[in-house]
Amino acid sequence: MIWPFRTAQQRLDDQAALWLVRMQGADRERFRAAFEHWLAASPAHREAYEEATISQQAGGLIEQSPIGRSRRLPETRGSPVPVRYALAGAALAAAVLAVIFLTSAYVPPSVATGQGLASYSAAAGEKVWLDLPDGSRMNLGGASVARIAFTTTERGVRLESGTARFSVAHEGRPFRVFAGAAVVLARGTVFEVSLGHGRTIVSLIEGSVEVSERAASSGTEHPRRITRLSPGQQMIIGPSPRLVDAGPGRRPETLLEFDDTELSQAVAEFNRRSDRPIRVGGPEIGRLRVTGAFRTGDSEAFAQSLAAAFRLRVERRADGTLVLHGLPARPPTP
Amino acid sequence: MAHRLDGLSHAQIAERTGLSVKAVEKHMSKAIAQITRYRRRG
Repeated sequence: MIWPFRTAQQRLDDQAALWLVRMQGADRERFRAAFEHWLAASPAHREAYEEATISQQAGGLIEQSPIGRSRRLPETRGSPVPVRYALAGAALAAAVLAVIFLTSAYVPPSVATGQGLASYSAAAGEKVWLDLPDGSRMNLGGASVARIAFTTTERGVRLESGTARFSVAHEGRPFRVFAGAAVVLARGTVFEVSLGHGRTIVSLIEGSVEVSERAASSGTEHPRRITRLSPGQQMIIGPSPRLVDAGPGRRPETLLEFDDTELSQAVAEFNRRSDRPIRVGGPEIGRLRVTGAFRTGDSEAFAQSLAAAFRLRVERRADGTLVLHGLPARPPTP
Repeated sequence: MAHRLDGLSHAQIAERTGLSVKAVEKHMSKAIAQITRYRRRG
């Protein structure tokens, strides 16, 4: 979501903040020259950068606040891979991919048959993140092989084995994943495809996808049936295809992002992906504006974060519903 | 906050949240810019 009415100063502050963060990141040396150039370009740039530095320090005060104490960063569940291996893998993957895409651009690929495609694999116990050239991301699980082909009209991935999670960037070209007997069509969405034991499992995390089956022998797509998945649903394509709702415990975790969104709308979006509803106790609370990324599914944590940020009270009803109330008769702040 | 409180690198935060490093840095810079905006207003 992009706030459309940004002033020149705000754009400058955004840039300055991004430079500040980047120059604290692992790639700082790569950005050094461009950063120095930007900083020297105008006194306003330097001023904005200094403001950003102060803002970041001010943000540190949040550490002592209820928000700072209530925040919880999600853990990647069930990841047996130490972080450093994943990072090494990601760096390697980025390098390998750059080469792959440069070389594959001129080969007319056939995603359905897997011929003429660039291939990428993750070894057992390895887990790699790939940034695809359209801005989509692919997270390849252990012992997985995927072939990738992007043309001017289609973005195609063929999963040969293992598991891949996709976070698809919005754009005109369809994004198709071929996996076993399944073809998954997506536009902007997050989903996971897993191959094994003679079946394909497609799990939708966010957005919407269409899953069709195809004859395994002939390479082409013969849609026998097209199923549209809703978030939280899984489609198992095998000898007897079926659609299941992943239980709340198995629902894949993801982050929901808000950027200056009305609280009432943020809560509504959150509730759509959650089993335990949150209610807004009054219209004045609903009009508060929320910015941030929150884990989906954990209503308690989301309600507490909102309560901490806006000084609200969380009422826990017997049926599990969480209600956000304003604090009564707050003394005026000095 | 994870960066400052827990001493996690951008890449470690990315790994934990399932976001890309680029997205993590975008979020962090958004937070900083938001504070700057607020401070400029006052």
